[in-house]
Amino acid sequence: MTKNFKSSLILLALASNLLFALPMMADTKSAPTSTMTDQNMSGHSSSEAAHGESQATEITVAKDEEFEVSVQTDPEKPTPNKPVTIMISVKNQSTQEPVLDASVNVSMMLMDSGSHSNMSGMSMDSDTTIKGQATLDNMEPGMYAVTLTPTKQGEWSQDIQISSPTHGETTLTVPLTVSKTGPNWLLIGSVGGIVVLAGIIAQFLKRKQSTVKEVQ
Amino acid sequence: MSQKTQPNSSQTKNFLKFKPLKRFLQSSLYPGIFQWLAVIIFAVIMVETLAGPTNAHDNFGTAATWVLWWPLLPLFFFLFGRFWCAVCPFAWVSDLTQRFLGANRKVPNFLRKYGLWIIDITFIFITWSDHIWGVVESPRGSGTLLLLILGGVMVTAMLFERRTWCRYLCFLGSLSGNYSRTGMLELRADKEICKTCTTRDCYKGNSKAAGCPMFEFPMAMENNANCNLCGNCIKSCPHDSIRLTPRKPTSEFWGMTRARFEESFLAIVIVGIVFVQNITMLEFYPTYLKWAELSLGIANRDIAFTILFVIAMTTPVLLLFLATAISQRFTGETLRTAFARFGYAVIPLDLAAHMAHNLFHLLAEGKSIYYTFMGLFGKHIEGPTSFVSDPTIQIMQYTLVISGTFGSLYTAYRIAKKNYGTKKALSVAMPYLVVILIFGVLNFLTFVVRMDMRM
Repeated sequence: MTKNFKSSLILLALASNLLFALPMMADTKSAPTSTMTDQNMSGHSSSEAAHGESQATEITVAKDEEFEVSVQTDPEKPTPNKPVTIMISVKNQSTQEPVLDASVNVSMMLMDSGSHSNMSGMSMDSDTTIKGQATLDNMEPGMYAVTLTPTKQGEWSQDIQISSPTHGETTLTVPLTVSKTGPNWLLIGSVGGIVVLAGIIAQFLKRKQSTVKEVQ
Repeated sequence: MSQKTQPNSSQTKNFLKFKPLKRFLQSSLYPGIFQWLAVIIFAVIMVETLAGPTNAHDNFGTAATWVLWWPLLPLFFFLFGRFWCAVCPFAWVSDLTQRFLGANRKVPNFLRKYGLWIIDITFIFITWSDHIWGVVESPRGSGTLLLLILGGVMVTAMLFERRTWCRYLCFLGSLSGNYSRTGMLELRADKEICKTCTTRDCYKGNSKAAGCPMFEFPMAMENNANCNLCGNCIKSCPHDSIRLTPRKPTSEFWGMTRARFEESFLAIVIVGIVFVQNITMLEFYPTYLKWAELSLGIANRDIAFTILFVIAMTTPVLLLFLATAISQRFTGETLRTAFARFGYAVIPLDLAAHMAHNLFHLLAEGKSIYYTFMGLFGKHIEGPTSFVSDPTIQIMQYTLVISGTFGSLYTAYRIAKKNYGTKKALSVAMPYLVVILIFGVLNFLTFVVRMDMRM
């Protein structure tokens, strides 16, 4: 009875470990890999949006009467809690000249969408709303960059507000998918560790049993 | 008494009289040949779900598991009992682990006594976690679940004898145990022959095969719940006592002599689980959840869902308790005993609703299995995923749910008839019939609205 009780305790402890590892899945919620397919630009003028063809660079281009804006992210496929640099190239739509006097603000919000839901809303927690001001980057004229760190995986919405004293203002909304792509080694390692531990215990019990048999 | 529990057909039709089938079941090819196939596919699924594309749409593991295997599973249970458990890759892993590392300890009494409750709770928890964290629609979530099961299987195989996990801890095993009881196939031993047996090889095992991995003694077996048709007893029985016979669907419940509260509880909980699965995949569900959030004054969707989930889980249980309380006036039995006895009556409806729900995934998304399989070889294929039109699927769903409802109604009546006699049968069964009808109508209504896809 005592032995059975001990075995029960061991089993329960192991089963609980396994069961409570499930919350780690909270970080593994599925997220579509297709990115930046639905942009819109709103401001004082009518807007037009297009998705860049190149899969490698994932450039999102949006145009309106005053601006032509292209957005890139580095890394291309952001992961949670890793900084992502958002590069925004702002050009004059009619002249194709870079706009150098713009103030560019980026506000990222996690789209609060459930796994079974088509409905989407904004999550307004502090860790799901991130803001930053993009500054002129030296890489190319008219390129503004800001580095932000998305805290969770999922669909984020980037609101890019561009304000220029000479060209007016506009707002561009670009989705950003933050997802884990690799295996969850922590989980795999944990389960593997528990299995190894159980294996060691099993061998210990086996040896004990055979010792008892030999004595008898 | 035990003679009554044997359906008549079992005395006349024995599939094992068909020599080629018997030879196959007695050979080492069975169930190995199926197991190896399952293990190979399972290995691909594990790798895909743990390390493949994170989008369910592109993941073969997700498609193979939730669009093919999960929908076909209840059909298998209905046609072949727990045959799946015989070929299950986890069972193979369990046997292999045990052979090399097993300490073969006796199963703790705690598990014997409360194993089914652990299963009940785990099943509810997994269903809840699917909606909170996305198990089915997240390849990583599915992979995590499979990995945790694999870990659990290996740990129990190392510590305890036979297939302890499958018998006492596998939530799917319990589900299959329940569903296979409605099934059309049964394996039993000829009690007259077994009376003269002194070796008990079917339980202990011999040089031909190991003893029953599910801790069953075929002579005493009265139901399908724990027989996984592994064929060990067919191989090991020296007296040719084992029979494999067809039977009428749901007939096992009609002559049932022993009812377990935990099994009935699981059956009634599955009503809620299937209902939640149906509701959450309907197109109006997001709007409904939003309404619930606003009505309950809860900003967090997960909490709102949890409240609805608890309501969905407890309502069927409470309704059955209510029916039992009313029916008690005619029987004078305790609430627990009557609940345990009649809880089984909902299993045909559970099975039918489960099949109807997953029929949509199989027939409306079935081609995604091929697309994602080709994805494994770097071929990206897009196209329509359905095999048949939505209205056709709906008609099949209606047919299934109606059949399941009638099956449950009839089962409840037969249980009442067997235990309380023909005169009292209808009055005793009436409260249960009303409750089953409510469940049937609710399930039917969920199939009127189109469901969302998994892939």
